[in-house]
Amino acid sequence: MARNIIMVYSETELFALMEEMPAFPHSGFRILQITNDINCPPKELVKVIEQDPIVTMHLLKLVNSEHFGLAKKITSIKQAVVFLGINTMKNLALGIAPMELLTGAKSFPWSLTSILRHSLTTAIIARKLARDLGYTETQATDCYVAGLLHDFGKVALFKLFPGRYEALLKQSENQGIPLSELEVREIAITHTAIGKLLGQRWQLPELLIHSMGGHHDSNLCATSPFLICVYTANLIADRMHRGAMYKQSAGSSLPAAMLQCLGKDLDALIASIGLIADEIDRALLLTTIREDGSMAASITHS
Amino acid sequence: MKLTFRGVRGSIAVPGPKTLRYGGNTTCLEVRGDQGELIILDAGTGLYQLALTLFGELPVEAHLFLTHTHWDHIQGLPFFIPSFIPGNTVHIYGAFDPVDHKDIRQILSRQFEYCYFPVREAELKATITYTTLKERQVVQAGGVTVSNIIMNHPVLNFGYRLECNGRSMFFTGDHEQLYNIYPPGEEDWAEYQLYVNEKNKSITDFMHGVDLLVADTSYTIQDYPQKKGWGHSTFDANIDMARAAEVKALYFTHHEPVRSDDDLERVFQEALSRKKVAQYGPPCFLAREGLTVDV
Repeated sequence: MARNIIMVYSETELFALMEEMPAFPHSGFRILQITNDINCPPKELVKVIEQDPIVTMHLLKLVNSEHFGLAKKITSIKQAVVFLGINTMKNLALGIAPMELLTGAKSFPWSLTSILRHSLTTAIIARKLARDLGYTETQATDCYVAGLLHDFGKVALFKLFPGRYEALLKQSENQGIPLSELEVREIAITHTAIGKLLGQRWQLPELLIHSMGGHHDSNLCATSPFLICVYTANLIADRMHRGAMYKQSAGSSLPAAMLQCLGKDLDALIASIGLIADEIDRALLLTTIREDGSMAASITHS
Repeated sequence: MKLTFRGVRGSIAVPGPKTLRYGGNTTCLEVRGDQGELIILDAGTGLYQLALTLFGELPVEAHLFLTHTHWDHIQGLPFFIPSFIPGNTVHIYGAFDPVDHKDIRQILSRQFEYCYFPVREAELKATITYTTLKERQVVQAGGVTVSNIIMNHPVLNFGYRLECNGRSMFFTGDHEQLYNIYPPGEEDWAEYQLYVNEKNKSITDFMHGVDLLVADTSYTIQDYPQKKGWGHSTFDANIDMARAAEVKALYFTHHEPVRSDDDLERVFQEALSRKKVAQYGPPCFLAREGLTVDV
């Protein structure tokens, strides 16, 4: 798979492009606000980072890089803050915030915002499923991060094929053609393949590599309760996006092993997600970008 | 090993009548291994005082370990005279800069740029080597084994553990006790506290049982609430850390620049009494410029 994309980009170009990927505008904007205020509570910065897959990815990539040579992988932003210190995290985050935001954001692709919203929704649901299964808060956070980053491959393909990938996403949505089919046909690589490639290259924790590379692979996901949470959350978030929120029966689309692990069928799980609907709505509100490119008022006062 | 404090002041050098007894130079520790190996911890203005003592033992081979590269820990470096003399060797070790992706040589070479200093780094006559350390990377400097762990400061800061013939010491560099960024009762408090406890334990495990701990003690507990997050510890927190790590003796350093000798002794005595050090230990001392102690 990697060979295909290297036909368009050299490996060096590919990873260089990934390095310079800026944060999503809403979080970039908040990071700039926060870092300008010397008295801003560190937890505000953590909150913003935890809701942005790109900033999260940059920071996890760095702390897990060979510079640190850690025996144990760092899997969440809070862990990274304790490990590196809040000021280092703040300066790293500032470096990722797109500076053009200071002069007003340019138009931002609708589909990229849509990926962000889906990622956040998946993250929050994955965390809830983990909590419901009785996992520790640390493990639930790991599931949150795995959910937030599962579609990072799509963000990467957006960067690599600007315009073209947006068209693919729209085509998939409008015509009901599976995205991976279109990806293989049009750009010769799937978002899961590039997700896996990047995860391995950046020496991310195994859960994240599997989540980015295998979130559509039910056999792989059935091997780990954490991946089951991500797989299921992705499915539910997808249905929510398609307007079936809290209502439509999902049928028997979860494999038996997963149903057994979760102890509930998809209908019951979807019903339980209704309990955290407010939490999801609040998170998604923060991603709102007005047509003129400015942020929603709620962000500046959050 | 023998340890000599060459600079014990934090933040900025403060020479003057009020700092005569403890000294005004910024951080620099000279450690001698049992075979006379020269290990230097940090290159604050105290490094110049050390440099003046080295002319009798040329050629010099020095191993300089930087905890971090804030000004008060590197300001003496351009004035480390052995660097200008052919035949000397200076091995410099330190952390990389994760924000600007610079290794230790790139970070330090800026000090020698045209607008900051008249001599270029390339013109130094001694053999200078640079090693950008990873966390817990072990360096053998003659008979002295030096290892490191990342502490808590607003820049990547290594604490160093030195061992030689069964004796050991640890220097924190600049370090603030870790704290929870969430108030108790908030949803994220418990999870964050778990990581804080884990990190604190990894630090106390790393320095466990050392014969001598030298710790950044900039603040009193009265100072601290206004200085929280600035990256420095208190007398009380360091006594707690020393007890948790079961160290044999604790030296307080990185004295606040505004603290006169009299004030320093007063707040030191208050902390000893508050923490019942006479009863529960460990033996505590104020680091003083020029003081040599056996490790």
